[in-house]
Amino acid sequence: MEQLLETEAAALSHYLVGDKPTKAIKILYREAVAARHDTRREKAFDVAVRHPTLLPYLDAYDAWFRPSSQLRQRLHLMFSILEATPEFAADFLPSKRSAWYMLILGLLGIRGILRLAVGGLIVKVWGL
Amino acid sequence: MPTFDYIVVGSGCSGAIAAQTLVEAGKRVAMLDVGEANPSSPSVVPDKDYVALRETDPEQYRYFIGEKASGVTINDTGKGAQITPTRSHMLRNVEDYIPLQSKTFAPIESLGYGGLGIGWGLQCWEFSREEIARVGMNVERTIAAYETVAKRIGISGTNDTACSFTLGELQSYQPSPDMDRNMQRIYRSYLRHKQSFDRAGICLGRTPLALLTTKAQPGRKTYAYRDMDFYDDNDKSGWRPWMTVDTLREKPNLTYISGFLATRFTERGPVATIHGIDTATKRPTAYRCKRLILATGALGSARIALRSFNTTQGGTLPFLCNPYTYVPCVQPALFGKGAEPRKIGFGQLSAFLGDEAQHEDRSILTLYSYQSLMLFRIIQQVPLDFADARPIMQYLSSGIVIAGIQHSDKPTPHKTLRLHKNIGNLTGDELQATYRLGNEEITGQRQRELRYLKGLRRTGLYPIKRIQTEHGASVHYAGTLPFSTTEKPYHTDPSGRLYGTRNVYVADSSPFRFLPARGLTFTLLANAHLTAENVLKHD
Ligand SMILES: Cc1cc2nc3c(=O)[nH]c(=O)nc-3n(C[C@H](O)[C@H](O)[C@H](O)COP(=O)(O)OP(=O)(O)OC[C@H]3O[C@@H](n4cnc5c(N)ncnc54)[C@H](O)[C@@H]3O)c2cc1C
Repeated sequence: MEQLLETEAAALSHYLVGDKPTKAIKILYREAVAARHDTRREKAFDVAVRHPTLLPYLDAYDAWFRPSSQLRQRLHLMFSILEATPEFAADFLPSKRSAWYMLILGLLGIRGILRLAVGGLIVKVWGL
Repeated sequence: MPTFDYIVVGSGCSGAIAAQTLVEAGKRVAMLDVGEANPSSPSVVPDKDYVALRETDPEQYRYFIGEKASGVTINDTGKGAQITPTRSHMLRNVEDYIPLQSKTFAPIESLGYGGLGIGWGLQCWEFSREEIARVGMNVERTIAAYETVAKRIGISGTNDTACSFTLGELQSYQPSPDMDRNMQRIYRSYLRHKQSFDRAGICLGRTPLALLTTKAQPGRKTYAYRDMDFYDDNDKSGWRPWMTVDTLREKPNLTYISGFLATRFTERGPVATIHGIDTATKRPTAYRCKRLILATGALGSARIALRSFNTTQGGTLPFLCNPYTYVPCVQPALFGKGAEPRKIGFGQLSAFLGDEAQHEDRSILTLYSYQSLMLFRIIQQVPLDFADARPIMQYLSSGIVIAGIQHSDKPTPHKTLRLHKNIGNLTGDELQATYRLGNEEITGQRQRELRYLKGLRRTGLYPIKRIQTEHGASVHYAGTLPFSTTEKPYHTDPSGRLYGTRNVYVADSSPFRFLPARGLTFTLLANAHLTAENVLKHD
């Protein structure tokens, strides 16, 4: 179980901020999951953790269609933990950007919509 | 049975001020309270600003998201979102000790040491003379009581164009705190377009706060702009009721007893007895006194009154609660601006529809900048995958402003409380609430909200979505035991004494017959002081 949670923490952290979680983050994540007594294991979440390349697509799909899914809940949990960690403060605190950055964000938005479409396909094909 | 001259039940805003008036008059007072204590006292938050803490403190999760991320819930923008882990003790045991069932009303109640005041937003409005009269209070005495309370707790405000709506006739106040970047821009824009706002009937001004800005008080410093307002009270610049109770406890004539859940009172001759449950042993216990002052919050006092009179008077009680809508807005000119270390998290600007001065249906809008409540509370509102939503929200966050709109409330037959038996509960009962607004009320509120939002656009602030909260989310409750000049069951006489009793008084907002749109707490504090004065006069 501990190993499983470590793998999970690594996959989620890498997806959210592109980096490995520190030991402290792993412990926090493990404790937070344990405190929630959530023993179910939704298939989509299991697949996303075992195949982290699918994570963005399944997440994008769930953001629209299953906002309370286990995947969204665990991602939200890891998001909160990373946000409250000094190592990743720069990824969350407001930071100075030029107006051109809007363009990049626009592209991210479009990417998000494409991910949603691909996610829909994956969910359908894999029956998740 | 322990016997006291005066018993005040509750350590919240009303209990603290009522007790202070009695103690300062030299009376021997006992304060009885459930009084859930703060486990992280002294504070676990280091004395740095929000940005510095985020960048450096490895232990920050303890106060930002809580041990085991207990402060992270699936819907973080819901009721009580601003009650952070360091203040969560204010909600402890509420469901077990004072259960409330309702499909239409979801209040926040507190059994904490300091009550709801542990987390209140410090906004201190003086009601207009008309509003004070409609509430059922004596106008001249209330205006004087505002002054007394302001001197005790410390109020900051500004004599600006909106001050007739904010400070009213108040004389004792310090300057408002400095506005942050977002608010400065909105206010400048308002002043530039003032004529068009005047035509639209909208008036914008500084929000009065129970905050020391330039003049410290013993044991309390002036505000340090750390933007940690939702997490700690390190400098005690913002007034919270437990600060007053802490000071009173150092005096020999106040006895504070926690772990007492009051259930009902009885009277025999001139002696009142408050019955309750010792929360440690779960055994019945009681205290006797000459004068009993209930300050358990409007819903709490309703429970106690219903139990105490039930056998003779039956009982459905009215109640009031300000309907509340909040609107996340963006100010594009401030996107991508970087974190602001010197900042304030409390409400800074408030707007009023000035042309409605004579109307009873009114609304008020207050603006807050979003920074220290962090992204995790709003990220799920973005319908995108987390990895893409994060940089987008990070960029937008410096320009996010939350507008909270509150509406006045008056009693109707569709806002009621009853006590029902439930032997499964500690007290053997539960409060059941029904709260429904009439179509006319809803239409009026929507129209006023739309007028405000149209006005905001003129300042360069763009509303994203109107979110109507569940009834109860404003955390402003009143009107359960209304003032009346004629004797009626479940009513309070103008001195605050409950009809049908000789020596039982209500010092919280239960007697308010009307709830103006502006927050009630400053008036509730004034009423607590006046009730205590009335008790002294009756001696
Ligand atoms: C997040 C938040 C922000 C707010 N912001 C504002 C604002 O900006 N402006 C404003 O005007 N208002 C605001 N409010 C509302 C304000 O906090 C309340 O109006 C005020 O605190 C009510 O005080 P009270 O003394 O009447 O009751 P409470 O605060 O409810 O205190 C009740 C006290 O009685 C005790 N008690 C209750 N029942 C029993 C019992 N049966 N036996 C023994 N003890 C009991 C409790 O332990 C507590 O000490 C806010 C509230 C919250 C939660």
